[in-house]
Amino acid sequence: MAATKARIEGLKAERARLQEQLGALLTDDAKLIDAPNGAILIGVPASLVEAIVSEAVTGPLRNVRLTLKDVVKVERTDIIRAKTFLGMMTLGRYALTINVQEVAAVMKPRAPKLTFGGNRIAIDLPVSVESGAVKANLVFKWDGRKLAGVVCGDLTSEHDLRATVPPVAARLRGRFEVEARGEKLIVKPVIAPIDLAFKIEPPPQTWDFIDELIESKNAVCEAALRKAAVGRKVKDLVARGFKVRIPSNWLHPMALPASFRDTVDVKGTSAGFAITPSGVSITKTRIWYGANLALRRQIKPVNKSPSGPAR
Amino acid sequence: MSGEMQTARRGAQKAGVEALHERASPGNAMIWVRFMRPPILLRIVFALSIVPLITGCRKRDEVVQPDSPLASELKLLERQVASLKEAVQEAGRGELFSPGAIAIGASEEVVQAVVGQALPIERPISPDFAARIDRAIVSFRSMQGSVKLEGRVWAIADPATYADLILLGGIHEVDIDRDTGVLQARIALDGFDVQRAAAAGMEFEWTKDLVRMLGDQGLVALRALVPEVRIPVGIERGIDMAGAEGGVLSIPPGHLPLEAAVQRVIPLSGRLWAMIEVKSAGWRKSTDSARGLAPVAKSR
Repeated sequence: MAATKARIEGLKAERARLQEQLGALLTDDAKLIDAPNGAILIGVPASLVEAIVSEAVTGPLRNVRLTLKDVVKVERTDIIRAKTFLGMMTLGRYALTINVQEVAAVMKPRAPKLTFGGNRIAIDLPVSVESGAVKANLVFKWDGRKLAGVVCGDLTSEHDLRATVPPVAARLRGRFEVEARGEKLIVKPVIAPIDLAFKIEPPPQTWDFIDELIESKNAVCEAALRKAAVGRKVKDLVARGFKVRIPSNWLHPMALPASFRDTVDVKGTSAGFAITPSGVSITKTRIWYGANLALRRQIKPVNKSPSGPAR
Repeated sequence: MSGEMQTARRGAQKAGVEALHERASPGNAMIWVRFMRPPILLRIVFALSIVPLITGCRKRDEVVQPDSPLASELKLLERQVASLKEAVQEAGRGELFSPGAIAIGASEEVVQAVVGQALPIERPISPDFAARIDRAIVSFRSMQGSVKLEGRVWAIADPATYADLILLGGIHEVDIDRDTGVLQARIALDGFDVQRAAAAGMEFEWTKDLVRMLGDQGLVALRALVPEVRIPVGIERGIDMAGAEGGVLSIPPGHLPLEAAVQRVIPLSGRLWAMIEVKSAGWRKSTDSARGLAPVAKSR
């Protein structure tokens, strides 16, 4: 008996020593540093949140077909003046309209960079748009009326443009804000629209219509238009490309996969609990969500009337 | 250590917890009969001489009885020290509180309240005896998750003949309910204690019958009295993501399936911690079959 008691005392001392040793080795997570109070705690690791957020963003964008309709209308106007044997003359003004009717491309996300801190997760996702094709309509309108000399007269030419777009690099930037909603932890995206700057690479024969247009005029006009480099200006305008803004409304708030439950079934008895959130805190390694719990109701009480002797 | 316990400990290294007491075999179940009523004091000497015969032990005043409170405390301390040594090693390797796993910690009060919701549980434990569990006390200290269930056992033919019953066990087999995603645990019984027989003139024979029956059946007869444990936290099996239609970008609705399993359980500082490992095969377009989701792995 005495030996047993001595052994017990020895074990108690060893337990105390080990507890102290363990306490010193525990990580901040295990010590609940910066975790909220609460009878129940859920600690979702930053790595998991990052994985979920990353997949939620990149998954839907993986090889998504981007089809843009009635994308943009770009217009450029210019007055062309030229020195002729009659002196400096205004030859006319032209208006070039590029109506980008459709862009079809494939969007591919790259590896996102996520920064975990504060009450948010910042995201910077490089995105590339590949294999693009553009359907556009070019309208060249030459207005020679009301101008002195009437050298070139009026003319209008409309031309369909089929071109490819070279790969476009862009970035999806924004953040996911973490907030508690009742029993769940929600990550809410606050993402800026993606701005894509498309270039157009039309086939060389695209410009034939300009040459034909110029050559169809009289010699004086042709010389003047060539001197004014109308063709180059049109090409420059097309080469500027166009910008498209891709909205971010396809990203929706998401609930993280661990949540409190206010009802659990135990052997046919449904126990209800009032869950009172006690706080959310975000550390470098975890999102902590705490709650206190109180019995709310007993929905299907069974076996609550004991028949045996009371204690 | 018995072979059964060694198996339990191997399981515990993965996801379970060590039991408070070794799984008792029918022959060594913890039996402690204490007679309290004055009319039977004269029989105490005889009773004390019989009990060791039943339990196969020598007199208490000579050596520490294997089922005595002192022996029970010794066992618990030995287990705590052994578990703490393992925990110190794991903590040293940074593996105790897995940084990549969801940590769910329920306080002793929460688990006690949840277990209490299933009480009282009243069942016949043999043709002659019935028992009821009224109260649960849990403890999550020093890497040991222990559960004490208190109740009463009585003769069905004469409910006035009864004894207090204490069941001792540990939290075991923590996993995730496949249907609801709720975290659930099972209490494994390690031993029992019958106290304070109260029956006019019948104590000895009655208690002897009860102890013999429990000794023969071990803890099997008492298992129906053990409540289930549901921790009010759920693990989702996936995240649904709405798509977008009608804009310049058409994104189909999708689903991110998640596969969750309890990696390990840590009873520490008054909380029962379940570490949940979550994996995903990646986002996929929603279909009816996809919403069937990946199965949730069960782990011990």
